[in-house]
Amino acid sequence: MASDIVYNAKEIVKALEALEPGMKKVLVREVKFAAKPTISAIKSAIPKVNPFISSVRPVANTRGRLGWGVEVKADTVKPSFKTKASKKFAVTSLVSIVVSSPATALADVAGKGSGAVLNPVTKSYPYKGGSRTHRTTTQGQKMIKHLRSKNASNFVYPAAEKSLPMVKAEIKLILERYAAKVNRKLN
Amino acid sequence: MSIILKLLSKFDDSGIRKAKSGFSGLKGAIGAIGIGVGISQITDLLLDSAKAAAGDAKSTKLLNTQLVRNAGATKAQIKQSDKFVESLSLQTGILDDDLRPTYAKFANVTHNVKEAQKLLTITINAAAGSGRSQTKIAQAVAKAYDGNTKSLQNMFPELKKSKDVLGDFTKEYADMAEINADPFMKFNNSMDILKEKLGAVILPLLSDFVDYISKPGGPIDQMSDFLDSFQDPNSDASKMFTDIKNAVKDAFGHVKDFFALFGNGSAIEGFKNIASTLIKALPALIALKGIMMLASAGSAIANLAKAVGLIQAGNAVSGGGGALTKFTKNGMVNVAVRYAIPLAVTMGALEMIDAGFSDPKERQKLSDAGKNIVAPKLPKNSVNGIFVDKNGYNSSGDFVGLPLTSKQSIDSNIINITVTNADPKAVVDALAKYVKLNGALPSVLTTGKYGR
Repeated sequence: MASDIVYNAKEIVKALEALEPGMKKVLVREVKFAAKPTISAIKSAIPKVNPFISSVRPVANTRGRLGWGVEVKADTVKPSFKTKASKKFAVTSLVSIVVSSPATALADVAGKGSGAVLNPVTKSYPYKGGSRTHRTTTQGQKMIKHLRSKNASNFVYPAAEKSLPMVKAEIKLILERYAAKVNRKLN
Repeated sequence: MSIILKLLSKFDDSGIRKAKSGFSGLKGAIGAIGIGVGISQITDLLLDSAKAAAGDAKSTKLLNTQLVRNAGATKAQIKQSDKFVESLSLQTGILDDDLRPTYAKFANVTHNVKEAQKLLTITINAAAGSGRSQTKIAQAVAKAYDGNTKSLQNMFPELKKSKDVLGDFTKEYADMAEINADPFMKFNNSMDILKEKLGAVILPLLSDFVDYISKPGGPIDQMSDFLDSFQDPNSDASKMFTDIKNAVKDAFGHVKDFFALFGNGSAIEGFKNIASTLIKALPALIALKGIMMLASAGSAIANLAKAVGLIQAGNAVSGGGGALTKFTKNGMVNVAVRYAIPLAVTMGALEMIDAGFSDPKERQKLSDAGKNIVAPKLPKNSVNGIFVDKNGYNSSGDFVGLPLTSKQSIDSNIINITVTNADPKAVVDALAKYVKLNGALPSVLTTGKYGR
């Protein structure tokens, strides 16, 4: 999903804060508020119940990192506004929406790959004082099949797509408004 | 693991630039210690080191003078002070050259080496911790040491309520310089100090070398005299250059005269005529070599030009020169201007010219040929030096041309034309008509096939 590029974002925010302390906070709040429609759309698309529970796995994972709602609530969707520069990339995200639950992310991306088995046999790993390998299981394929049957996969982007153009335009307008404010005050 | 939807992106390469500059600093530092560098870089490093050491020695000397004058420092204290600056620089990544002036300033104020060191440490800690200018903080600290804490308190408002301003200030920014030190700067600084130490070893050697080359009568003086001698027109060096200039000028003049003979006074036309004739007559490369050799034959060209001039003058009196063409089996045309330029200077000379490029003896022969041009006597029963029978056939059975009879002189201007299966009178008439209309015959003549 291509996103528009904003130049001198950091400078604008810095100048805003220099002109009127607290302005940056207001800008960020406004931007995040503008992203609300997308956030709500994503939230509503996230399954309300654990989609991983199936006949193959009837008991929910309640302790592991990938457990549904473990540590991070499954419907946690947050806006992010970052002006910090990266040391690796010149183009980085300024405003983004983060779905932070690992279980939700797993359910969403499951089945998006080609489905080809990269390594039919796993790498050697330590086991009971020695090491062993095993054939790649078909558990993953079963999980994908199950998630698809319940329409519990690939739900984040389709939900966001509807409201995204409007939200983008609104955020750009907000930034332009603040940039104009900076320019007016500097001139 | 999370999903991130990008709404807007930003372009900001400052992070990349910072990372790059950091690594370029590292590269420079690695280069400085000579890891993976070539000879030239090592010599550059030695020179850089010597320069750095010279700069360092100068600033150290300045500081030490201040310490002795203002703080009454002993030799041991000076030595200790050098070590203090070096270790402080290594710990904080601040260049020693930036530390010394501040140190000297505090020595002026405190008149005590230890106190000056203490104030210097406080200042650089505060500069690193607050991000303010080291010079401005140093001024305020120096005033505070004398009891005037106002500027320090203005600079750091949190000290306004303090009873022991300098003490609290020291505590507040303790060890900040070391904590905030940029690792790259520290590394670069360490390398700079290493460079200076290396330079300290090189510097005396360099100094000796400079003394040697600049001593009276030394290499610099000798070179200077040599260059001066060019200004004197009577000096050997100057004369040599004048001779070279004249030789080039003369040679060019002679070459120009030579080519002018073939172009009705125009050297360029003459050169064009010769070149086109030679290129038509010979394989292009040999022709070019011949022209170049003729042009580079030096003084011999002048004589050759004179000789050709005389020959042409002679021809003008006796009715002009002629050309004898020989058609070979492969269709190549050899042209011998038999009556104008002797064979030695045409075909034979060109062979010599060809050889002359590689053989100095042959080159000399060519030069001599230009000086003494003598028409060779052609043997009887021969055409262009090729023996033929009375009917004009060579040993291989190829028709070359009818040999000259005893009645015919080689110096005469009569062209002997014998035509088989044709009317000789008609051919002679045609030739006479052509010469009357156009002057000399062209170097290349076309004809029908030769038959027995």
